[in-house]
Amino acid sequence: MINLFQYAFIVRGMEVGLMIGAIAPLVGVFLVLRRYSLIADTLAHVSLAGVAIGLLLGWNPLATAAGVAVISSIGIERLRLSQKVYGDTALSIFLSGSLAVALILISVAHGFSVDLLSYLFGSIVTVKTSDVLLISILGAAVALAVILLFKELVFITFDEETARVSGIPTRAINIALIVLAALTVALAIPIVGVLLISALMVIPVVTAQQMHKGFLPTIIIAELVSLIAVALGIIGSFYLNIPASGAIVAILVIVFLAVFGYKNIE
Amino acid sequence: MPINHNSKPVVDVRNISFTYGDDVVLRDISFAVKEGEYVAIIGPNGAGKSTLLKIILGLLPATTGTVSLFGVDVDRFKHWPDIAYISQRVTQVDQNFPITVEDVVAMGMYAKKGLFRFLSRHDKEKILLALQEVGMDEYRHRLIGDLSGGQQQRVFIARALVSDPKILVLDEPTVGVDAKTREQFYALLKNLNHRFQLTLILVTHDLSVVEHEAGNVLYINHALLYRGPASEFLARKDLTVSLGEPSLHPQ
Repeated sequence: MINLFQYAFIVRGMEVGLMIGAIAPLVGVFLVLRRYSLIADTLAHVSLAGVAIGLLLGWNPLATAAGVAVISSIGIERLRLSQKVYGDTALSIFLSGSLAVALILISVAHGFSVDLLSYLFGSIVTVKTSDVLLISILGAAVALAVILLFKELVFITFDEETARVSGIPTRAINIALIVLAALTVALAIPIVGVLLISALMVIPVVTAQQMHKGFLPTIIIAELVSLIAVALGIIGSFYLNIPASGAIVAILVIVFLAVFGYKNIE
Repeated sequence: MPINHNSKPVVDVRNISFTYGDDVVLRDISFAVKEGEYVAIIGPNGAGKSTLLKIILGLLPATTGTVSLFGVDVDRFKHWPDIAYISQRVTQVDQNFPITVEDVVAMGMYAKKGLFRFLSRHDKEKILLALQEVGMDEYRHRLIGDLSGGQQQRVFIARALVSDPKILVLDEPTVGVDAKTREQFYALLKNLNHRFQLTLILVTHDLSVVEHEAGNVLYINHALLYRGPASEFLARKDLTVSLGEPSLHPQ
């Protein structure tokens, strides 16, 4: 059998994959419990516009995706807070609007359509050394921010109104959460692509929720599910010659169905 | 507890009005609550009680008028851990939310603790004491969604107490719980009011709390129609009839 770790692209893919596998459920748990799962999808589409801008200008698409996602996330939150539009309407505007921008930019510079599929569905083969560095630094920053703001994030997720009355700066924490989600989504593009990112943020959390444990144990279980799915997905994709993103998400869905079935039969 | 009538009001509401579009939800409401008072804000559904509470807590801006908390305008008030709030939403706990009783009570300490700081061993002891105070310490490792409505309310009282508040504000806390649990809940509130000199402001449309527990009543139906002792309020059939629970009226 071939030793897959002799290939530098697999090593880079695994490094980046495990980093994303760790931060996606860490941020995803707050989105799922606040019924904000659609935000991950919206930010993913916004990131695609960022990727298009990067490709058009010849900059690192991952960096422009992260920048555009962060700026848009603040816009989404402000639009939601204005209460002039419903929360899900704000998401729809950004989701379709950013897809339109991405489409126009892509058609303006017809040359980069080859790259586009790898951004839509992820491609660990295309992960560059500079991406590993960027994802490691920003990923570590996201994890550190979640740990430092953990108690406030838990409080506003459980009962935002009481958190606000008790003196928690809920507006700032909400902005922090959506910015962290934007960064996570943008960084996950090389591994699972724009169209499958929300699976990595949502499915491990929903699987862990079936175990009926407290907050911290739920996060630990979600982390284990996510990391195992990413590692097995990348290894499986190499030997079976299938896309890693598809393999990762398929494993996540199978694990969820198995746990859900077992807990409900139990 | 005896109320010091010379003390400054802890809550001072002056000429509050609130309009929503063309609807006048609250009209020129003024009252003060003194330290250690147990006040029930009562009125029929849709009378503007919860809106008034939100204005007092700074969650909604009043159209006109002012609110002071401990002598400070609500917009400039900073000592929010002095005020514990139990919202109507606590009766709608998400059954699948993965959080233990202990972690829910811990939330009461988070604002006081400040950003980027973690709970100490001493804080965890305080959480246990608060749970013991409401008789829920044995449930501390259980998930909140697994408890009955009455038990959940005791946990939320523990969360309120753990920050050593001076005022406890409750919005319809007994909606959806049975009569026995409700009695126990009100007995617990009265006990806290007596033992800790805790000022209690309770929004309700439940006349039984007026009958048995609260010292003073504010009857609101868009305007303040009564402010005085609970015993005299119960004699005002013109007001109590709108609350629609004749079986709870004194015979």
